[in-house]
Amino acid sequence: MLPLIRIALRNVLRNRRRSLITLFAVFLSLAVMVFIRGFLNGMQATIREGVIYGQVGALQVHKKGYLAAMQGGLDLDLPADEAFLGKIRAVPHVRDATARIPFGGMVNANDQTVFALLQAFDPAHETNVCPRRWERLDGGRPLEPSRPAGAVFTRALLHRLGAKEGEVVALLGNDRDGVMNAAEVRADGAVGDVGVFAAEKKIGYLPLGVAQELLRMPGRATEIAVAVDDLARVNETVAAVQRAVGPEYEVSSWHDIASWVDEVIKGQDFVLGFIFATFFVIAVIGIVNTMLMSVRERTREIGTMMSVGVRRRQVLALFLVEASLIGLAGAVLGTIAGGAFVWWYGTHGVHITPPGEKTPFLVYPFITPPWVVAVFIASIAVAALAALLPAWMASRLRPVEALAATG
Amino acid sequence: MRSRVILNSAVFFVGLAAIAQSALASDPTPDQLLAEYDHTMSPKTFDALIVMVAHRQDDTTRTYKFRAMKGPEDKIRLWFFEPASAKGQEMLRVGENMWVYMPNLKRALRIASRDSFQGGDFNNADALRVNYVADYTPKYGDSGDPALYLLELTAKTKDAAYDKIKLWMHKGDLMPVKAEYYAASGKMIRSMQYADVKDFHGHKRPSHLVMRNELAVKRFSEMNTLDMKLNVDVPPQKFVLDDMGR
Amino acid sequence: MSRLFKIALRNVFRNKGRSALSVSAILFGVAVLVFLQGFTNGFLKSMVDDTVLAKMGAVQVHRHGYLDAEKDPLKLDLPDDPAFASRLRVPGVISITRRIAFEGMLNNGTVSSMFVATSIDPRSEYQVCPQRRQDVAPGARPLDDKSGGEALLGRQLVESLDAKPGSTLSMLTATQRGAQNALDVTVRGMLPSRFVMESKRVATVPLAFAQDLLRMDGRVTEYALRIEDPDRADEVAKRLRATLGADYDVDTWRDLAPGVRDRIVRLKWVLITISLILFMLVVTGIINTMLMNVSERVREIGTMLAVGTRRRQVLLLFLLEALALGIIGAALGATVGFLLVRWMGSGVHFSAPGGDPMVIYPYINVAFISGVIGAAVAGTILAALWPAWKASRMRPVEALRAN
Repeated sequence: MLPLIRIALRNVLRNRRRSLITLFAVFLSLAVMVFIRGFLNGMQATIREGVIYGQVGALQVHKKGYLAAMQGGLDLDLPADEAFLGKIRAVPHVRDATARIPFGGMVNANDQTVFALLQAFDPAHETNVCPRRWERLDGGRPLEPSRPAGAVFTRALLHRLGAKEGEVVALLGNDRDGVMNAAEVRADGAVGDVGVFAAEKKIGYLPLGVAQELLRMPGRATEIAVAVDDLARVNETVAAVQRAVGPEYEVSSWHDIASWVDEVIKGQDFVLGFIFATFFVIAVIGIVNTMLMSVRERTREIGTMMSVGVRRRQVLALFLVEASLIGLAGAVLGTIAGGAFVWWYGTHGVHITPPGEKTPFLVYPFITPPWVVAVFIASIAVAALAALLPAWMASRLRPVEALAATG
Repeated sequence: MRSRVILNSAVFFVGLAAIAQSALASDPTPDQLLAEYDHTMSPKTFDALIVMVAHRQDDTTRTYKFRAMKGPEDKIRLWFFEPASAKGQEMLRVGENMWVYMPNLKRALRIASRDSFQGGDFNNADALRVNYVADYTPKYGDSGDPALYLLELTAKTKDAAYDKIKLWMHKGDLMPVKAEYYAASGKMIRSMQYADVKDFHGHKRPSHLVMRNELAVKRFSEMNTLDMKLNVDVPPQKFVLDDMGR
Repeated sequence: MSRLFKIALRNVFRNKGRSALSVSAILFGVAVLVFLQGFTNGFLKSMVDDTVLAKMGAVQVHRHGYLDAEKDPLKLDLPDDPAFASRLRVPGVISITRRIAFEGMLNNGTVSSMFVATSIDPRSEYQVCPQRRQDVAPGARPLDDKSGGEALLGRQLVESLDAKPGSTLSMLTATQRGAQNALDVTVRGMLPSRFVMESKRVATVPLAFAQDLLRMDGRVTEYALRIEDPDRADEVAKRLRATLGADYDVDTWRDLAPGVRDRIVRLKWVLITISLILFMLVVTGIINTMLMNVSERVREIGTMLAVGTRRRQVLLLFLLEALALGIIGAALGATVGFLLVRWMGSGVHFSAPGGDPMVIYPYINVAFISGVIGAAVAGTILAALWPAWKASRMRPVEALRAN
């Protein structure tokens, strides 16, 4: 086996230029594939994390039936007191839990009242569960415990009301009994852009206390968002939290709450797979061509080999190994090059502003070892496969004719 | 012989007089009857104390106690006393504009849509807002009950809230008994029942109203008028935004 | 020059094996690029169609201010007559339909639920949005011109009223003038539930029914148009704005669904980059074959130079051969690619995991094919440049000596 490899290597190095060019093609393909995969991984992680750490939390607790009733109704509420939250926080792998009330209400300023989607957060704990909650804040201050009447609104809402940052704004809502109530907050901060996935543009974020008073539900909430310290084990933690809170409540992971994220990612992976297939096809074409040229060039040599007793099988194997060597070398170098880029950007991060979004994404590309190994093996296999036809053609040469051929 | 003629004449004249009297006491014209309804139910101004029980379709009820002051031309102001969570709240409606006064904020806020006022509990009371004489043409229908008149009202314009209204009124005291509100398609949308006629400072009026959404009959409201002063002197500034909360 | 070209051609056809290798490198590369582009075109088009043909229409016309109106949107109506419709038939417009959007309460006699409805005219709606025919849950048929008082409702809406297909419900809403009106409606079927929030309150009813209910005979709130090329929607919109004036708002699907527009732009950029890289890879293959062309004919070159052929002519000869090979290879490759695209053009069924199954109709336009052929030929000549130059620089003595 080893002598075969040595001979193959020598043959490959004989026509350096051609081997190098073929090597370059494999190198470029691999480098680009590694690079793109790394970037896509980073993008997908950013999207996923943006949703988990920016909006949803790793998992959520609701009163049983709340999600099926499509998040309507304040009747399906749950306790927001330290006792209940403490039960959740005590579950292993839970980092923190925070209470929220999302509800529809009216916002009033300058004798204008409009409907808006209102989200009440606990300023003390919300950023523990969703550290990126205020990433899109582009003016003023976020919700903070020190300002119990400070709220944040989207610019679309402020514009509709003709209100400015710093203005006092009134909130009108119906409590659980349907009786009206009102509260005042100050528009301390503004959010410019809620992203292309948001259905509603008029949104207000207020402190939990204000909502509890407005809706006359002190100490209660309709949603508890929970952060975990190991996202990969979120399903186990969901089960553990469910056991801790009991059957009256339903615990859901972020996969269920924001199922569209998984779908988008799967779609992207699919498109990427298609692109990779195209790369492989082009690489195969290139290798087949190169090997055919090689066979053509060495027809006499092959004839000589066979006439001194080298088996057809060995001729076949020789050409296969030559192709595999080029494939291997190209794969190694390409992976290293692509990997280097991924590593460098992965450490420093790169800002990408996809068209349509106003805030740039911060992406940290990365690749996973299993994927690298898989691509590696695939490259070599593809190279060998590509060489199969030319190698077979070489092994089928008739020694007499081969010897008679002119270089 | 001459006595018989005289007796016959007497009988004739008494009979004639009797017919004449019943002719004088005969049915009012539809316009007169409608005006009578308006006078009873929609005086130009009033100041009343009302308890309203709203029945929701989830079988819960909510009871409101409030003072209502009506001003000329579709203006109304409410002061809430019950439930406790609504105490101190006020409402002002001028035409299509509505504001609520919130005691905890000490100011009045415009309402986005009528459905959001007290969670839609007052929607059934829309039937009371109808301006009968101005918007509807009355004519008699067959009530099928010798004790009741039936007035059939047709909308004069497309702007009227309902296309047709049927109004049953007692022949004796001309008090309304029942009303049905129809849409242009002919479907009955609301119904009202009037009961418990009471004397409010010399003015007779049904004190118990049941207003029902005929398309979703689980939604209905009962309105009990505890006290009412009609045609009071209502200063116009009561229907101005700045007056709320005073 | 023409003599040189004839010699070049003869060289190319003389050694079939060698030429075949060169041609195949170009051929397959071009074919793959053409196929990829065809596929991409189809993919992007299906993304657009899903938005445009499913429900929206490529262009929509409303009364000025309608889309932003907070209250009384019905008052911002449009005439529902052929005279107005004919004003909309600017160049590029294929079909026109009208709609009214409204909300109200749906009642089953006991309880009520809120709904948000779109009313469509079955005779013209499906010409503008053909995919709307499929916008029904399995088991139901879309509205047709015999659907008088029938409605398609979201599943949650139907269930919240304890109804099912065939039940009669009554629709209560405020007419255009503000009066209350109600009409009976039969549940014809359910709408597919894509988003949970949506299925709670969506409804689709026939336009005539809505006009009756809202007392808006002869009026509508929206015109939706189908145009020849959704990519050129902006041009059509411009023409419409010029015709209609300031009283009307014209919006394209890009204005109304910016999320889709952005996704498409992103994807286009990615695919252009990929195509460029693939092109580079194809060129490396061609370089190899050009090198082989020269290396195999060292003696021949030496002979040529020895008998007095100018170096410049040697260079030119090889470039002309490259040109011939490029043209043959690119033409054949474009043909193969084109045939592949046509073969798949009747629809590639895709079940992208996580998404709805979609059908992609690959297509290619002549401009792109010409572009690829041109690029491939140019690439071949460029790839041959250095080998040809080297050939022309050979020393005849050494060349003749080589084996």
